[in-house]
Amino acid sequence: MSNTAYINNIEHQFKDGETVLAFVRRIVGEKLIPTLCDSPNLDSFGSCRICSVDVALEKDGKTKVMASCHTPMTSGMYVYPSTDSIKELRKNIMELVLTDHPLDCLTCEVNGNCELQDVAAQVGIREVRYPAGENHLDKTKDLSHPYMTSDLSKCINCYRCVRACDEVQGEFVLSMAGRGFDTHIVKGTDQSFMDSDCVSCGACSQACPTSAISDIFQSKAVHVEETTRTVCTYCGVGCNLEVSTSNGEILSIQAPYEAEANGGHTCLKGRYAFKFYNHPDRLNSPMIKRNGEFEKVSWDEAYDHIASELTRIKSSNGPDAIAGISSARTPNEENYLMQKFIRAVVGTNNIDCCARVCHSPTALGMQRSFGTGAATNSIDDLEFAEFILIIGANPTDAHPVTGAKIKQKMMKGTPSIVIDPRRIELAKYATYHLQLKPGTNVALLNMMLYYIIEAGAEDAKFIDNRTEGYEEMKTEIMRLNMDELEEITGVDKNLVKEAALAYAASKAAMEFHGLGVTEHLQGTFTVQLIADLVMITGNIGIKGAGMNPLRGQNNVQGAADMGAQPHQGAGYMDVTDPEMQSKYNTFYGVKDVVPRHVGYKIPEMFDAAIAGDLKAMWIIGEDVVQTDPNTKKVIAAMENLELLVVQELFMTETAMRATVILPGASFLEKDGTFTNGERRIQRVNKVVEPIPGCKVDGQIIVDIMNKMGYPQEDYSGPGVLAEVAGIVPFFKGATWEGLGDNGLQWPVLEDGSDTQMLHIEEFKRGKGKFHFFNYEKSHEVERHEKDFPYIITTNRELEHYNCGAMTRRTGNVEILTEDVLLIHPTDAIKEGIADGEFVCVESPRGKVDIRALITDEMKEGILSSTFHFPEVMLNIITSDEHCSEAMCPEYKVVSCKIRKSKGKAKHLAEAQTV
Amino acid sequence: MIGKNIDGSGFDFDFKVIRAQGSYICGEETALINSIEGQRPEVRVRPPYPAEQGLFNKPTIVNNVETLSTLHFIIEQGGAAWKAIGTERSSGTKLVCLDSFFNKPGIYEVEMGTPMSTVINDMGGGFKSPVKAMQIGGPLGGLVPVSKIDDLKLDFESFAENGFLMGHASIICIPETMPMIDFLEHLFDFAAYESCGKCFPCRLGTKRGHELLRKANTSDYKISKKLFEDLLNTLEEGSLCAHGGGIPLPVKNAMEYFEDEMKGYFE
Ligand code: SF4
Ligand code: SF4
Ligand code: SF4
Ligand code: SF4
Ligand code: FES
Repeated sequence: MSNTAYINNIEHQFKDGETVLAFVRRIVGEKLIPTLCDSPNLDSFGSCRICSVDVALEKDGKTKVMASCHTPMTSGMYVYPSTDSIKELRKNIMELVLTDHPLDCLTCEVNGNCELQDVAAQVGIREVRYPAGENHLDKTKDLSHPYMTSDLSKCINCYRCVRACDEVQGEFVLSMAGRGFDTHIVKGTDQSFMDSDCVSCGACSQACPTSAISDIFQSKAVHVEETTRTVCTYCGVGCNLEVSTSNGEILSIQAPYEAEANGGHTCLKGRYAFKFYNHPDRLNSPMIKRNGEFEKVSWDEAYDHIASELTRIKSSNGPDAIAGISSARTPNEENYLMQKFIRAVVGTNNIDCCARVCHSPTALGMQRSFGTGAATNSIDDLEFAEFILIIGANPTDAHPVTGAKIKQKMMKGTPSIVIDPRRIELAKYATYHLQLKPGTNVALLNMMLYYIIEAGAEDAKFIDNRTEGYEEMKTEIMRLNMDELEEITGVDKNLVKEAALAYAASKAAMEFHGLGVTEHLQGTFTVQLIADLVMITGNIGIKGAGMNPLRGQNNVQGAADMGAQPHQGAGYMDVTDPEMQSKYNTFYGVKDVVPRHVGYKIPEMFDAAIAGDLKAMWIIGEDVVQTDPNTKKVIAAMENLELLVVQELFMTETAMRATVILPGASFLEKDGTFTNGERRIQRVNKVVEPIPGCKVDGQIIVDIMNKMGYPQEDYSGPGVLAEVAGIVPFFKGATWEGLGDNGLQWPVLEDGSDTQMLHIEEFKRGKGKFHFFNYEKSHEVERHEKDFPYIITTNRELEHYNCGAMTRRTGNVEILTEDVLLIHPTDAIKEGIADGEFVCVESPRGKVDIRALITDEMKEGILSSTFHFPEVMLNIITSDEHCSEAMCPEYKVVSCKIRKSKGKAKHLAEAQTV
Repeated sequence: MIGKNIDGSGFDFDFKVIRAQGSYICGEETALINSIEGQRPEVRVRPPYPAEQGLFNKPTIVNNVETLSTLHFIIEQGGAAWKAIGTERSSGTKLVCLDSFFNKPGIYEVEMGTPMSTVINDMGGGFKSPVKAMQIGGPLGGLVPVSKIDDLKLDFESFAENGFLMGHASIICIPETMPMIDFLEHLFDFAAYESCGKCFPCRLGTKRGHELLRKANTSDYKISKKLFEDLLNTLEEGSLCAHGGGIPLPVKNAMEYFEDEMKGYFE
């Protein structure tokens, strides 16, 4: 069969699988055929019929009207896209639509940017000939929600919102009810947006061609002067955003459909949680703390103060008495400059970033197994995945856009395993949920390896050709006693066996993991065992497979890539290697300034500060007091410093303890690049100028570098990127221009080509390395389980981002107002705790009061909560136990005991309920 | 003959009867499939056809009970015997339901190709009271004036040639005393009520059609001929399924054969 077809009798070639609409649009242009129910990221649906065309099977033959959006092209088709009768038909359909649509365009929020208006104009409708009849113009608006709005009198029943909610987000909030003329959109069980299960992703608002479903930012309105494409600052999915501005003020955010990272979708954080940027709480002047009070000072005064303090400390205590924590929320370029400042100007390797407290075990473990500490495949590969394995990650809350894609796959029947102590949303769709006890990942993975080897289900060819250390690992694994491990993990061994064999049987299984893997005593070992599992089944180097850490912060991949870690510099070169040391010194144009000993990791910084060895710290955009474990200890460390510079947007718990505060700029106010979880380096473009009094963080670092005698050019995204490309091997071909709209996935070769998948022919380290590790009980539990019999594991909620400094200053706080304690009903009964009551949770470090939420998502004896709100300060109870290898804190396993709150918290609870 | 490994043949067959909830649109195969899945009975686009992706996205054959009932005969007597009944292109028999305007109402199994006059006069025993037209083949079937009875035979070809539709071939009589506009008003009301509401032409068009006719019937409002024609064409060409697409046929028949009666309602 040929792919020849005709448009108005002119011969063309169509592509396989192309619809008539796509064919005509590609050849003749976007505008020729109008559409209403069609949308770029939705399946064709065929409700509006505006896209009808005439089709014949022979030249000028008998035609049939067909809806072009859902009619596939076939060989020899003669398409006549705009005959007179077709034009007439479109006009007549449109006329019918207008019989049930308010004619008050002039006062409508989308006037001028309304698809209905455009199509009406295009088909040339002049009057509605029908006499006034029944209509839906009296529908009332729904303004119940902090973001989503509806005015269903404007609804044309195109179903785009319903399909967006189903097909893009997978939430099934919207549906059509009634039949015939009575057909109408309902939310949930005919509720308001606020009462429904809506997760405020905004997909429906973006999809709706009119103002029938919209948002409070009127994101489809035309009073926009300019739109700027940039990248979301929240999670590692790296969604592209299109930000509309007018008079230098941000109006709204939409998602570009052609964005490779997110294809027209976002979550509520990226799309709606931007109002923090000009919130009245923004810090707007440098401040120095004098006699316990912050005093506003000029930038020069602040810089002079910092420079002289740093110089003093450096000369009296040496450069290692100074440390920096860079921010994974800021661009690569700023991270690069920060580590350069610490290394080449201060002269120490005491630089770390929040990767320490999240994915440092991933980076280390994957480097040990494969040679590269980054996701091996791309999110796009999900399309090809035949099996999904999720370990210790809750993507629908923490990586919502990827989470939605995974959920869609699972709902459509892709077999899957979820390994998580909580019955997270995806566990409800998974084929297997292995609900293990917190802290027993190693035991569970060893069980999986055991059963795969026992059944002979391993990929012998892959093991032979591509790996080493297999036999040693196998010998150790086969010695393990499955009954013991069953007891340790609390998961039925037959279920583990079945799941393991299902995973091994799949041709392409894609693995994702999160902090439920890393934030443990055996975090790095767990990562290495996942690598074992991936290699033993040959699930790497092929499409739809691989090992894919879901990176938490938007640029945590980048911060580590740029060298914001104490043992490796920019581009992961070993600082203790003399050759690399001299390479860095030469590149930075200094002589013997960059030292050759590894610096402090974040937890070591706190210890050193308490011990008096560390005198000064410089922290950018990280609230260590609220988010690092064991708050009291962190505070003690902060208070023991002589100089604490905090570069921040808001007066966080950490900023309060600073000696100098420097007001930085948000992602909306600067240029640079973020690298998402699939190694995609994407351009962050400045949308608005920094609010008065603030400075771009990169420029602040440049200023202080210059002040301290190191010549560094003024900050610019493209400029610093060019410098980075000179030292980071896998950025070699990355240029500002070359990155384009969709970015490039590293390694970016010199010719500008990028890399969707790693380790295809061979591993970065040559052969993939198998390791064996035996299960070791969490020290925390070992030590405290007698007196503190419960385990609390920490998690994140969709609506808030980490310490919440940003999201709590947006409408998100109206959707989720506080941290809560998830507790199993049996435990609640045992402890006499009712739903909504305050619970006092006590660990060996301290106690906090949290409101209980009784749910069978938890197992008995296991609790869970978040630390988004400073009112709770959950990290008062977390420990400073950490991963034995990477020093990532053990946030996921904290021993505690609980009782109903009395006293203050109880009064608080009562006051709130009145 | 149901269950696993029937008669040692290695062939498994099982079935389940699902009771419909009485929506007319569930006569449309994809809406029927949706409703069996527990979804809103709403028409799906084709392709994919049910035979490729139907119930729960699995290949699905959708047949009428009447079709399935013929299997018995075909299995027993063979395809050739079935084919020998009826006409060249309309094989076998048809079950015809005659309404209470007939002297002998009831369901008749009639060989295809039988003259309609035989069905009406011999089998049905003629009309009890004067009838001016018959709607044959369901609510989407054509409107056959009694004057056309002698031209028609009970087969697909004959109905199509004469601009009607055999459909399920059952006959509803329209008595002399019923004004044609009442009948059309009722027809549009039915169409609007039973529309699944998915596609624009049918959801809106059937409603507006009903409103136009009612207004003309109950006031001195005169319908624009052009508007009415546009509406019928929009329904016929634009609708996603045969529901919206089928309503214009009886209306057009009525406009043709009962022009005198109808013209007073139009401009
Ligand atoms: S905002 Fe998202 S979840 Fe809510 S109704 Fe719209 S598409 Fe569904
Ligand atoms: S609310 Fe908007 S998207 Fe949804 S059916 Fe109505 S017009 Fe279409
Ligand atoms: S938070 Fe993550 S998923 Fe949500 S919009 Fe931002 S990058 Fe996308
Ligand atoms: S023609 Fe009517 S019944 Fe058929 S799909 Fe359209 S609205 Fe539904
Ligand atoms: S765009 Fe094709 S039917 Fe709506």
